[in-house]
Order: sequence, then structure tokens, then C-alpha cells
Amino acid sequence: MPDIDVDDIVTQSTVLHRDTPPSCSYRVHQPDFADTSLLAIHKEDIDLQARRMERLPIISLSDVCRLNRIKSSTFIGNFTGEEFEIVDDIESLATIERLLIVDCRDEADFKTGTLPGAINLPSKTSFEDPTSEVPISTLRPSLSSIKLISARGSRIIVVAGKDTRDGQAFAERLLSLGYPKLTILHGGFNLLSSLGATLELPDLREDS
Amino acid sequence: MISPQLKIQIKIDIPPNLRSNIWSALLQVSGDTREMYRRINKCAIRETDRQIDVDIPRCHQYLEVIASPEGARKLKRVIKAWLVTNPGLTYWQGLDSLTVPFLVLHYDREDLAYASMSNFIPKYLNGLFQRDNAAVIQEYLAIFQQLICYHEPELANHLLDMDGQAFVPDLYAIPWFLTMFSHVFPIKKIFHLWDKLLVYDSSLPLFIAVAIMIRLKRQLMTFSFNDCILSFSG
Repeated sequence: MPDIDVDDIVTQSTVLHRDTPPSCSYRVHQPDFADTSLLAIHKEDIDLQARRMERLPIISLSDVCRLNRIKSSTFIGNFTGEEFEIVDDIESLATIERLLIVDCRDEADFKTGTLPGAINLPSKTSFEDPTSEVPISTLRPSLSSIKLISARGSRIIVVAGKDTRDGQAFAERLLSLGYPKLTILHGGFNLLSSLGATLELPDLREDS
Repeated sequence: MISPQLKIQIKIDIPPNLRSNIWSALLQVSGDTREMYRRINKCAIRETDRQIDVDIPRCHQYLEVIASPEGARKLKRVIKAWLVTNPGLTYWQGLDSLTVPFLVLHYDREDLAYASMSNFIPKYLNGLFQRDNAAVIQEYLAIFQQLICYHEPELANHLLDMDGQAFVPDLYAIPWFLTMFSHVFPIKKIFHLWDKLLVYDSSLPLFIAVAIMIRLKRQLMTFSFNDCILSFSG
């Protein structure tokens, strides 16, 4: 360890810091977390016991809005009637990368409304079970799975329904397939519905 | 106060001869620190003294100033001053390593070393020196593991399943975070690392740790669980 070139470490760590959505490194015990907006992650929403078992970072709705260039007010319509602050950080917009939102609820739920641009890969039916030839579960072929495969390397945000553990389990399967930059939307659709989010009806033409 | 323009310069590099002043400014050390330090009772015998006495002769001994009897006395005084003024916190092994960079930087001004670490710890090591720091450490390690998964899934998958054993951060990264890497690197490298740390928020240590893992990835991918244990315990 002492032989490590610390210049490399310093440079790399600042690049990683820049390229990671701030909420992914959020800690309850972090004294200086900057995002205190309504759509950020808040201390009281975190279950520390459960967190220890989670393999993948959560991402806040405010980071998703910022990264996806969605104005939070576009889908968190008239919630409490207040104007939402739009976090449009110029530095991060300059380094914006592609982003894919994966709604892992059942198709029936997906059809009732989802996040703008989301694809549907139901957690229960999107994976082939492991076999003796292929010991890890692989994605079942579908238009959505092709979209996911072609988005490998982009930021992938998994959004779960009522049971937010579904999102972790789904993302862990993608992790075992080597997908980088996987995150889970904090609170999933539960939080979105409690915020009174206006969801978008998915465009299903391509799937038909 | 540091102007935004100066902060940009500092983010690029800190000249060694200005480091003590710049660090003090970044850590917002202010007031009559001499008088404040003088008033602290650093001689009172405390239950942690014995552990401190055991740890100091093993801490950064390649540094002449720290290995000297005078250096050891100064180090102990600064640590004890911090403990006296933070009654809710305790001495954990690692606090000695953490104090050394500040003492080396302000060798003739113990008060500044004390004041600097007093402002450094609440920002970068919040909660880690509580008597029961398990929840803070566990969350720290969990997020670190998640960030390895986020940036390096291949490495994460390898480390988490090594013939049924998982090489998890609990096995190697606690001293990294508890000493902000001061237990890991020699002093020159710590200065360089902390120069950056001090101009970032308190999430940077997590990314420093991920950067270390990425740097070691090629080796780690060929390692067994036992190789990993041996390589990180050295």
C-alpha cells in the first residue's frame, strides 16, 4: 500500500467524486451533505440496518431530475402548490452522460404510468433462471432487455414499486452480469405517489 | 476566509511552505488558540493513557520528530487535550496517526495542531470517535462497498464471492477511514492527499478508497481470499 502512487489516487478520486451522483454517497452521519431539497434523501428515511445488506447505492429523485434534465415540477405537479427548485448545475450538465430508467414493476403497473423515458423490465419475469450451463441468471430476450443491453455503461436507475427491496434484488442480478453505474431510486414509486407525482403513460407502440 | 479565486488555486496545488497557513484557513482555525490550549488540563491521568502510551511508540516512527522523546510528549499532549475538550468522544487506536500530520505541520505550535484536528474530526470523521461507533462505521463501509459495485462491478463480484468467502471492507478498510488514510501512507503522501481532502466535502474519503481499489484491481483480480487478507494486513 505505501508504494501506491498517491498522485494517481488523488486524480482518480476527484474524477470519481465528480462522476458519482451526490446522493449515491450520502451517509446519515455525513455532516455536510449539500442537498436539502424536498426531493433529496433525508436522514429519517434511511433504515441503517437494511442499508448494510444493500449492494447498490440509492439515488435521490432530485439527482435523477438533474441528471435527466427533468424539471422536478414537470412530474411533481402541484404538490403542496409550491414551486420546486430546479437544480440545474452547469458543471454537471456539461459532463452529462446517458441515463436509462428501468421500471421493474409488473407490466400492468407500468402501463398505468411511469417516469418519462422509462423502460419496463419486470423483476419477476425478466431473467432466465440459472442452468447447469449458465450458472448466473441472464436476461430474457425482449425489446426492453435489448435497450438495457445497449445502454450498458450508462447510468441505470432501477425504480421499484411497493416493495423497494425488489429494486435491490433486480439490480443485484444486473450487478452479477457486470453492469456498472447501477442505482436504485430512493423510495421508488411509493415515494413518487406520496409526492403526488404525475406519471407519464408509457409509449408501448414499439413493444406491440 | 478563503476567496473563491484562492480556492481554485488551492484545488490545483498547495505549496509546502504555505501549507500550515492554508490548512488552518481551510479548517477555519481562529481565535486565541494559544490561550485556549494553555487553559486545557493536559496532565490529568485518564483511563486511556495506557493505550496512548502503547500506541505512540508505534506511530509514524520513521519521522525523527515524532520518534524523539520530545515529539512523543507533544503528541500525547495534543491527543489528551483533544480528549479533555471532547468528553463525549473517546480514544480509538488511530487517533494517534490522525494527529501526527497536524503535529508535524505545526511542530512548534501545539495549539494549532490541536485546533486543526479539533475542526478536522467533526467534518471528516463525524461520529467515528464515539464510544459506540459501530453504526457509523458500518454505514461508512456499506456505502464504500456500494460505490465499488457502482464503479467496478467486475472487481466487486470477484471480491464478494471468493470461493464462498466475501472479502468485505470490514476486513481491511476500517483503519483507512478511522485515520483518513494516515495509518496507510507515509507523511508526504498524507499531506498531498489531505491537501485535496480539505477542499472537498466529507464524501471524498469514500472515493479515495474506491480509487485505491481501482489502482489495485489488476492484482486483486488474480488474488484468492487469503492473498487479499495477507496483502492488506501488511
